[in-house]
Amino acid sequence: MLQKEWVDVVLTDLNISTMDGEEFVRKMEEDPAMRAIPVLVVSTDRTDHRVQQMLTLGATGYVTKPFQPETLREELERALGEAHAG
Amino acid sequence: MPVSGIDGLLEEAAAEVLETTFFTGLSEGDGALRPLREPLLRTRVAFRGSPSGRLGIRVPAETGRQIAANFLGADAGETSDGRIAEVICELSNVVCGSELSRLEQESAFELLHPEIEPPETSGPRDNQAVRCSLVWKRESWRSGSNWSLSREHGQKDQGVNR
Repeated sequence: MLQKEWVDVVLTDLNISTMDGEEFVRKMEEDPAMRAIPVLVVSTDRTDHRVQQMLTLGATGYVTKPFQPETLREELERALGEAHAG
Repeated sequence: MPVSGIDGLLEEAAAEVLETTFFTGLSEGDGALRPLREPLLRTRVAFRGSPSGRLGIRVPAETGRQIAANFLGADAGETSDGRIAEVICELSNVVCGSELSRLEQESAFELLHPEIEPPETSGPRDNQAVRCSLVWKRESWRSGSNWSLSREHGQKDQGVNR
């Protein structure tokens, strides 16, 4: 889908059936055409290890489930703001 | 951590998940066991790390439909069985992650994909309860806890297995 149409931001779980979320973020970062798209990881895993790992790989932000809607909105705004500024 | 403390954490995790993500919560029910009036949907999610184990959820079909409708913002009557199963898998996933984070905040763990198990169709059960059980292995011992919540948001029915 990302190769066919532009999106403003991607939200991805780490535990998805078609591709490991970690692999997905890595592929996004490696693809010059997709690298500019901010990626928010949404996951139940709230360990510091995992959060740092995903941010290091290139995720723009990390939201742990369960979350309040305001938290997701704030993270989306921050990610979009950074993308437009960058 | 004592097993008695795990019961509380599991309930705490489920309550938070149900409230923030599925727009429902825990409350009191009668807990009586009666012949099943409807199938029980069953999902499980395994996790690897320290600890390793699995979390299972068992939901009466109609309760599952209501939970799915809440989650999707859809009409319960228009929610397909496939979507209900996906939502209960997600419920398992989020409760499991939330519980593990409470148990072992410093440990890395990997949740595998939630799986749907064959529904239960017979036996004396609490027809209004959602039941969640957590079983894990740590070296040579094994333990678990469970609780349930009613359709009108839950009776605790705690038990401990060693």
